Amino acid sequence: MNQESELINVLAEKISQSDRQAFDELFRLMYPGLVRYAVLYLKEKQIACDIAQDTFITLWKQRTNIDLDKSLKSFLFRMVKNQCLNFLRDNERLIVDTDLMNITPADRQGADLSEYHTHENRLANLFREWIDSLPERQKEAFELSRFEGLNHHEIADVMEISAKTVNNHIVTALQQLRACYEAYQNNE
Amino acid sequence: MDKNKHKETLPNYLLEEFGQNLQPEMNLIWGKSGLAEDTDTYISPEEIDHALSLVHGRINEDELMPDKPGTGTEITGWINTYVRFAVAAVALIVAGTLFFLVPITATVPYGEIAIIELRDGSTIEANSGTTLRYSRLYPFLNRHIEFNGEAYFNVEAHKNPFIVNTNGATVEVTGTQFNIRSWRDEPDAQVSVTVTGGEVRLFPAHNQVDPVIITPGNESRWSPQLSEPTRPEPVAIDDVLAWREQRFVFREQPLISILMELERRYNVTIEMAAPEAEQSALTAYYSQPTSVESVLDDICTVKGLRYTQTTTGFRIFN
Repeated sequence: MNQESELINVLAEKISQSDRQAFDELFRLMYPGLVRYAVLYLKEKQIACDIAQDTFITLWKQRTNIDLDKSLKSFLFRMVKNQCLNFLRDNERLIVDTDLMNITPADRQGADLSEYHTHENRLANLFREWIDSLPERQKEAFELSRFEGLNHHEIADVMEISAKTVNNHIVTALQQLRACYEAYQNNE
Repeated sequence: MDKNKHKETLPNYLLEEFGQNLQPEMNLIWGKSGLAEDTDTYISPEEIDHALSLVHGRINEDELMPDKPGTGTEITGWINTYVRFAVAAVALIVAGTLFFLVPITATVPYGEIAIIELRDGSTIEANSGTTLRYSRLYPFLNRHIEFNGEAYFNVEAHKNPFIVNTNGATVEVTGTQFNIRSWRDEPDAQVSVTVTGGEVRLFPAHNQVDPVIITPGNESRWSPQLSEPTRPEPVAIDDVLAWREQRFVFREQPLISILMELERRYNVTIEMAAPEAEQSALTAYYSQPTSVESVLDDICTVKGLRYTQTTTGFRIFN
C-alpha cells in the first residue's frame, strides 16, 4: 500500500470519530482530484466543484457510517461519479443545448502561453490531445490510474467493472499512446 | 500541480501485463504522459480554501438547523388491532422521547433586551435580535448553547462544562461572566468575546487544539477568515457592555454594522442606498439616544449623506 492510501485510511478513521481537522486535511488532499474527475463527465468546472463539495458534505453527514475496511478513496470517486450521472440525467437538455464541449480545451491551455512553444509544453499538450482521443472508458481508467493514483481494485470499484478489465483498458490506452508518441517522434 | 504525487514508473499491477522487453518503453510512455497533468483543469490553493470554507458553512448550517423529521409512513392495508395498539404505544414513546430532543429556541424581539434564566441559575442578558438554542434537558445532559447575536453571560458552576457555539467558534467556560458579540450577517461575521470575571476558552469549532484563554478585562476576536483567535487584549469593559444600559458605543465601526445595530435596537428597517459608504468607519458615543432619528441625523451629517422616512423605517442616500 502506498503512503497516500495509508494517510487516507488514518484520516478516514479520525473522520468517523468526528475529527474536523482530519476532514479538512482530506478535503485539501482529494478535492482537486475529485473536481478533475467530475470535469471528465461534465466538461464544466463550476458544476464539478459543486458536486465535489456536495460529496464532502455527504461524507461528513455519514461519517459515523464510514466502512473503514473499504477504500474511502474509491468511495468518494464513486459518489462523485453517481452525482455526475444523476446531474447529466436530470439536465440532459441543458447539456445538449449549450455546447459545453468547447469550453474545456481553451480552459486547459491556460497554463502559460509564452512558454507554449517549449518542447515540454508542446509534448504536454500533445499527450493531453492523445489522452482525450482515447475511448471514454479507457480514458477514465487511465486518468484515475495515472493522475489520481487509484490502484486497479479502487478503479474497478469506481467504474463497476472487474480489475482485469481495468488492466485491459489501461494497457490498451498505453499501447495507443505509445503508437501516437512513436509517430510523433518519426515526424520530428 | 504536484508532479511527484504519483510514481513516474508503472505501478506493479500494470507492469505485470507487459513482457520484460516492453516494460522500459511502457515506463517511458507512462512517465511522459504525466506531462498532460499540467494541462488538466487547475484548482488553485485559493480555490481549495474557498471551497472548504463553503463546505464548513454548509455543515455548520446543517448542524444548527437539522432537517425536519420526515412525515411518518402511512399504515395501509389490514393490520391486526393489537399491532395497531402496539404501534400507537411505540409511537407515543418515540414522540415523548423526541419531544425532549427538540431544543428550546429563544429569540429576543427587535427593540427589546431580555434576561433569560436557565435552570442551573445561570443568566443570559441578550440584546435585541439575539437567538439562543439549547436542549430541553439543560443542564442535565449538557450545557451547550447555539448562539447568534450579542449577550452578557453569568454562568454558575456545574459538573457539565458550559459551551457556546457561535458562527463557527466555540467558547468554553466553567463559572464566570463574559460578553459575546457574534452576528452572522455582519461583515466578517466576527465573534468577539470579552471577559469580566473568571476564565473563558475560545477556539474555532473545527480546531480545538490551541484555545485562547481570556482573563478578566480582556477581549479576543475570531472570524472565519482567521486560522486562530486574536491574542487577548485589554478593552474598555464599559464600552463593550454599553448595550446593557441602552447606550451606544461605536469604535471605528463600519457604517453597515452600525445601521444593523440601529435596526435591531429600534425595530426599524434601514435601507442603505449609498453602497460606497457602507464600509466607512465611524466613532460615536450616545449615553442617552433620544430617538433613531437623532442618531441618523448625526451619521448623515458626518458622512455627507441624507435620509428619508419610509413606511417601515428609513432610507439613506447620497
